[in-house]
Amino acid sequence: MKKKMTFERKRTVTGACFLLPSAILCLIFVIVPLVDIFRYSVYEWNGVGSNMKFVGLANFLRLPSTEGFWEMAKATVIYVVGVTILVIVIAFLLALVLDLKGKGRINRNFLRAMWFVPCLLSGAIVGILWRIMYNYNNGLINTLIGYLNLPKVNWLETYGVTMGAVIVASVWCQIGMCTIIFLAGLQSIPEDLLEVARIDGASYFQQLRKIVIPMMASSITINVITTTIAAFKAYELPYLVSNGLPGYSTRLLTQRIYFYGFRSMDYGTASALSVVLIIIITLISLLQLVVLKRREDIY
Amino acid sequence: MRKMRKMLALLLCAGMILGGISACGSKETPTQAPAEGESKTEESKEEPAAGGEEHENVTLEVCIVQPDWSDEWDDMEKKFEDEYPWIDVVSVGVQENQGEFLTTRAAANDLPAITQINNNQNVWALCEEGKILDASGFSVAANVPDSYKDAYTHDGVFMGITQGAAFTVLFLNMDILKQAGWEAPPTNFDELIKCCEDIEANTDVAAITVAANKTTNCWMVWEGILANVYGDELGFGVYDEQIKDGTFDFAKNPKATEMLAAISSHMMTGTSSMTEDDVTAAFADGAVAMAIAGNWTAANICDAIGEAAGDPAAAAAVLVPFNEAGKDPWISVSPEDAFACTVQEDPNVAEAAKVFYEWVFQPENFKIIQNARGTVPVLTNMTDEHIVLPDAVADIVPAMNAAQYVMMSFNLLTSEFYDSSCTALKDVYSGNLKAEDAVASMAEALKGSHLN
Amino acid sequence: MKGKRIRILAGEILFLLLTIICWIPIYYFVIGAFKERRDIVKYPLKISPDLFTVENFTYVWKKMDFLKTLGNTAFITVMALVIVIICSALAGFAIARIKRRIFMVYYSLLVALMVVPFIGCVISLVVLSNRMNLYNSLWGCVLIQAAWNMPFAVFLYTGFMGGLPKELEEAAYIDGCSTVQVFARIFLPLQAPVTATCCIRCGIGMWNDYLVSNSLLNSARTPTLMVGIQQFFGAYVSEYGYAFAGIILASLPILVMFVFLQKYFIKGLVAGAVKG
Repeated sequence: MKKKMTFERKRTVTGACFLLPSAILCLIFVIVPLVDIFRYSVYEWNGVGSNMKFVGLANFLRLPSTEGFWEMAKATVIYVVGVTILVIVIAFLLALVLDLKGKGRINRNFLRAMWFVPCLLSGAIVGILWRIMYNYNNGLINTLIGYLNLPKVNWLETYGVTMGAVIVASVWCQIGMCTIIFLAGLQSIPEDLLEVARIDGASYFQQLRKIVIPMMASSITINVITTTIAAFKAYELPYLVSNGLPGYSTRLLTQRIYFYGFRSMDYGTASALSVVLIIIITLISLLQLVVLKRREDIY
Repeated sequence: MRKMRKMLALLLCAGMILGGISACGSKETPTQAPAEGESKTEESKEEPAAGGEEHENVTLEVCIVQPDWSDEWDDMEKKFEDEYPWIDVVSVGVQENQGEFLTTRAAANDLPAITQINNNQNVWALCEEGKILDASGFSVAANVPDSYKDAYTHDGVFMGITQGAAFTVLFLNMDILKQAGWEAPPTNFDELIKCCEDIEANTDVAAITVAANKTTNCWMVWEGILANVYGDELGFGVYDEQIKDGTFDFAKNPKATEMLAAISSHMMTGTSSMTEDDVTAAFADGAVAMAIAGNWTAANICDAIGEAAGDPAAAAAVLVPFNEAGKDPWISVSPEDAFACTVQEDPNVAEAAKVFYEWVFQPENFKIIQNARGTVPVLTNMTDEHIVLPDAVADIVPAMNAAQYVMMSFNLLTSEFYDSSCTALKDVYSGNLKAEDAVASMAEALKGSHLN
Repeated sequence: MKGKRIRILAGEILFLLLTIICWIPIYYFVIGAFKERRDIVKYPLKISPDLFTVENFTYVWKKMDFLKTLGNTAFITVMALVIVIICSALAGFAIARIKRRIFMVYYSLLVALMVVPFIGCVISLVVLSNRMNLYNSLWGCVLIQAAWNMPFAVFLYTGFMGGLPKELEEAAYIDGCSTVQVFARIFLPLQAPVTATCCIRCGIGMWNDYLVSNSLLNSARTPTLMVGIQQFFGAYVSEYGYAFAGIILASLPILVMFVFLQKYFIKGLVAGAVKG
């Protein structure tokens, strides 16, 4: 008994040592700035000077009444929901198709790589690329529409349409990664399970509903949560595509953080907005985690 | 195990090789002295420098904002380095990220020795922290007219010499105007609108555009209207004062709102998101007949019009005719971005910055970037032999000098004001918002937005 | 039977069509990089030797000092990856195999850090790294990249380690191996797939990073690729050719890395992340 204790304790100590490097790095470079955000959020500070004035919660309280705040909050919600749903649905369907094997089908490895390539591009690149393509007068998309003899669309200046355009650009460069994770999930489903279902006469959709989706619950969880977090944190890509126009309809809260921090020289408000955003993302991720985990447990 | 090891080894090897490469790379520029002050300038290669003195090698960092003349800037930089071999100039172009750039550099105590600045809150904050050198000590500052000195003075510090006077100009592709039946540019607002209608009726080209993506342009269109509507009524300088006090009422005279609505209805689709380069491109593609654009883009735009029409003479420019028939136009003027010296702890860097600063504003050097942009300089010692303006612009300089003007009011207001007002204006340009709603929202935003 | 084959064929054609649509933007910028601006606008999708020019590339190459920026970016990416992989493999092993409640708490906290938006932390990171003498040093960038990618990497490794069968270590412990030995001899060799996954997922982010290197490196003296190509996106955005050539130059290396690691990548996901 005693010997086992020491063995276990030894393992604990070794484990703690193993955790140390990652803990130190994250403590210095992530936690310290994170604490700073919370600290700055209660000060009035221009980000440059040495004058910091404690203002309590004033930075938070003024946020809701700043111009465009609610429009930007709405835009953020639409963007996050739109991107997450589209990415998950498209990536899932794509994974199903890419998983099909058999005679007469095209080589899957190659196609998989093709769909993944957009993920390799940076947000700034994708943003600028789509901005060029959305150009009303000489953009590729309107040129293609012109070939079909349809009226041109004003992609970057129409309420509603522009948000769609931004979402499409974001989805385009994210489906690849999610697809690969879904594919991995699909390939870990034992073949004989599906075989049995097939022999029992289950249709493809029944197999999907009863076996495939439940078995992939954990990859769905991962994809939903990481996509949501990434969408909340997205900054460069939506900014470069639409510049936040028209009005405030595609301006996300992250862009507002940048504005307060580096244009308006109001680092306190920028930090307060960061705090709000962090809290919202955390709550939503937790909610998703609880709901999705419960579903995983049901299956 | 083997696979894992192989991969790690591969990664490490790659890292080391690259580390070596980048280490070599940094040796090529031996004076990578950090600007914190404790710079150990490497073995000073004693090269005879201009003036016969011996100098330690210095790396001088210069930040420029507008890169559409960055090629000419490189030429100028090379000319300087030939004359002063002990100074190595490294320049960085930052464009619209200037705010972030200066703020993070200030936080790291690593501001570039010379930087272009704009009259805005970022720079004022730096100035208040004592990070910007008072430029009135430089001998070249004597060549700057007082009004431009005042405009760039904050907290008693003259922050820097501006590159030129910025005002908006109506650029026209006369080739297209002729197709629409106009032999000469419009001379007042009613004619301008008539001209737009004729272009839309007789050609398949868009009538007019603005590089509204740039806040200065977006605002100057509206301010040009305001200047013409209120200029004579209020008299010189009153508009500027009222904006500064926050007592100006945008909605007082409905005529301004009507003019805004009228001009917006003829704007090219996509105007609200167009950058200055998009406007140049639209001219080059022959997709637009007229544009209200900054005089600082003259060289590019005139080239583009010449390219589209196949004849350089097709490019024309006039002061924006927002005036009533029979009156002279008012214009909105602002000093362009200025060059500022920052306070440097390292005396060598400070010395080099001084040398560069004095050198740049000598007419024979400054003309290199000046003429690349085709803009009107403010330096009093620059004469016609230095300035080569595009023909179209050269014609309007006398008119511009004679015109009555308001100082552009953005320099007096908060970033939050110009963000919200330009958002509204862009919505008007793109036809998403009624002019009167935009004007009302600007009037609302102005309250409490003035600094002081 | 025949009907089924036709259905498969139709499905495949439809799918191929979708893939092509997805690839239009890529095709557009790749061929656009070899054309002049005017031709890009006029003949966006046409390939013709008459339109061919490499002028965009020579201009961009020279203007952004390509080799130097590439060296900086590659150094940061590779070094940060090495650090991330070592630290998170250790952490993942401790969390997944030496199960302690306190480790689990640590794990949850670490993973929760994924929600922090970098944009809000810029100033304090600059001040911090300046104080630590890491400002404008590639190593400073390496450490910060490593730290910000750590939560996700630990998440990956923990999932992977947790999925390995228990018998693996039990036998070794009975043989009298220490925990360190178990990690080094038994678990480390099995990590190739998850390491490849980590390399690709974190590597893409590091390679494509703009914010970190722009704010923590002096962009004039130590430019990275993404900072370097910004100059073609700003005012030159109407010079489509330059922008496209910049995009290709900046993205080619990461594409090559992906092609080499692809095989391991999907394996790593199959084996690991999914069970996390």
